[in-house]
Amino acid sequence: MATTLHDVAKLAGVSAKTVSNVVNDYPHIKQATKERVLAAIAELGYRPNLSARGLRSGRSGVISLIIPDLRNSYFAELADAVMHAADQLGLSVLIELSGGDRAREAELLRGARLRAVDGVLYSALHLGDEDLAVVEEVTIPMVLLGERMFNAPNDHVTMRNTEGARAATEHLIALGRTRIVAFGAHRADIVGSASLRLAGYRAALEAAGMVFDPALVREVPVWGRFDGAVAMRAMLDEGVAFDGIVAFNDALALGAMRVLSERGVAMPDEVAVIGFDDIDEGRYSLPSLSTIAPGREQIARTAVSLLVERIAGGVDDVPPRRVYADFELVRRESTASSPVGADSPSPDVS
Amino acid sequence: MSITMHDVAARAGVSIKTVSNVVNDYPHVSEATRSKVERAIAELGYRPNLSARSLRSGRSGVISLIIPDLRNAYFAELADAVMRQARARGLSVLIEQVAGGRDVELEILRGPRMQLVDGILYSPLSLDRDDSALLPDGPMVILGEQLFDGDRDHVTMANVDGARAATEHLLAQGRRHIVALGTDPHDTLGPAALRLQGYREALEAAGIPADPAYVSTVVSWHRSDGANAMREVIAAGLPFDGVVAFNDAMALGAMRVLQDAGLRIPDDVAIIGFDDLDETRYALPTLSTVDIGREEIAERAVELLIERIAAPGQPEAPRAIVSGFRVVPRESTGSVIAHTPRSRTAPSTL
Repeated sequence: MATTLHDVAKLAGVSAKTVSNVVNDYPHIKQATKERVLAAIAELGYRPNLSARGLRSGRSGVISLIIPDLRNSYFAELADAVMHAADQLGLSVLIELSGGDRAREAELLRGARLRAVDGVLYSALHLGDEDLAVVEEVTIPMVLLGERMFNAPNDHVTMRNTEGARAATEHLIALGRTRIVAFGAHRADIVGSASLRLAGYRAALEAAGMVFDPALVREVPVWGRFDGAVAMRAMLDEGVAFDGIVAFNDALALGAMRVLSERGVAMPDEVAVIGFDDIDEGRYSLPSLSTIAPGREQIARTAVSLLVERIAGGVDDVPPRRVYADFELVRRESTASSPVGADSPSPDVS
Repeated sequence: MSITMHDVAARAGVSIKTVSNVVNDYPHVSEATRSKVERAIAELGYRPNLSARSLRSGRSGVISLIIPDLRNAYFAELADAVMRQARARGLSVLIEQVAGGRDVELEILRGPRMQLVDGILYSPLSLDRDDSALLPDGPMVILGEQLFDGDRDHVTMANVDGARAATEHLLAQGRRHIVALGTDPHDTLGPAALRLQGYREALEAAGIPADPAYVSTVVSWHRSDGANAMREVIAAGLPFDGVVAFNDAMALGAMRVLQDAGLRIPDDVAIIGFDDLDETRYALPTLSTVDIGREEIAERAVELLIERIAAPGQPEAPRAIVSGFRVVPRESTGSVIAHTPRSRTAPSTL
């Protein structure tokens, strides 16, 4: 007979709820407890078998991941992590791209129930709380990713945008930088990662008793390498003086760094740069890019397991849950005082 | 009795074909018609699912793209291109990753999910000619060389000629000790073997004896593999003045290691990659590469697959398409074009 969650709980000497928490990779579980549960899982060969359940119930075993774009390395790496997490649970992933187009974002949501997937992981760039009606129409299980909808009746997995950007800014302040650019703002935006990261930047300045200078807030509507390069070239041409850059994502930072190098600006001596996302590319750039690791793997695992719980049912009375992934400041050469060399290969890069 | 598409069509006052178009999310359905059909679907509680839909109409409107992994930027950019091409033709794409070895690859290819899709675009990783009999029946286009027997169309890139041109590009600049970075002893028919062949042909044509010591082996084709391989080459103490990396990701990892070792690019070592990833335009130095016609590959592959879906077994003979290629000279091989792009060089969907 197949091993159940209860068998694992019994062997580990914990509650079934705790096993579920470990399986779902929730934060705030004591390391010792986690290890005991994982050891019990390994010993019993427990594997939550959802595909079998799916076949019995007529489910397709497919979940949909709706993201803006795969060209953006953050989303490519997120999709990779989601697929690994889904595969662990016997699910495959239908990836759909909204292209960052507002109408398409809504259209994909409306079509979700028609495409007969078991559930949806949804990351929007444009739809926000004002579009709740569209979200509420979705009748199949859905978990929201990202930071645009905080009032939707759905589970929501997100990152610590404000705290992460604040930590990035504080890192530059600690290096003695006094004219720090917020790179990648979206002025028209009142929600979304750009505004949350800008809030973190402001909070760090304020806490340090530094004056917020709007001239140092740079609008960059699209967060790609090309756009970062164009915006940085413009800043240098305008003669804006600065000694630090908090880029709102790594791609912007990498585009900007290239232009700084072309113009002979020494990094980090003259300008220290930090990004956000911790994409693989930043480990090998010259200089290697300091960044905020937003907990991508944790976001993927948590989102998939929350979705799987909703698909499996029996949690209808559980109110919408919100999980914030843990972030980490990653120090590399772009904010270091001496070269540290390229990263050693990380174990998660296959 | 369950609700059928006929019931929906009758209720909405449209043809079955129109209901099918809405269900399959094809473009060019008027907004008014779409909402009429969706309302009827909601009122009747009609719910097609992938398998039921394909049983009834023979089509699910979904194709599968099987690739090694999205963490590899080449496949992320390819997947992005395939999805744009598929969407333009009203198809969704189910992406599956097979970077888990031969068994995983077979399991996915032969698994129940492949029965749900109309056709498969397959980029083989571990399987080869001996496995031809194991491939599932049904429409399939191979992205890569003709590795399999039978009537499989394939769309590939000019691996031999591209690598030869890359090597000749270095030879033309007087480089004589050129490292080939990225061979795989297990790959005797795939891209690694073919690019090695192109490298050898170029050396031979230039009258330079091939020295196996200049051929560097890797496990996979990520940045970390290029970095590790480059470290080994440097540690071996061989004199070298050029590197042909078998993809851009490895070249970017290798460039970083070269610079850490105090070698100047291109003065001491000229380096060229393969793939023309977006990030090569922003690297320091910008990376020379071979543009392998990714958009063309995606477009032709989707076209061929649609033809196979529409008329299985016609034509009987497998078709072979090789995309065009060109060498893109940049700073890493001494090109004087030393600036980040002034206009978008890649389709931006954001």
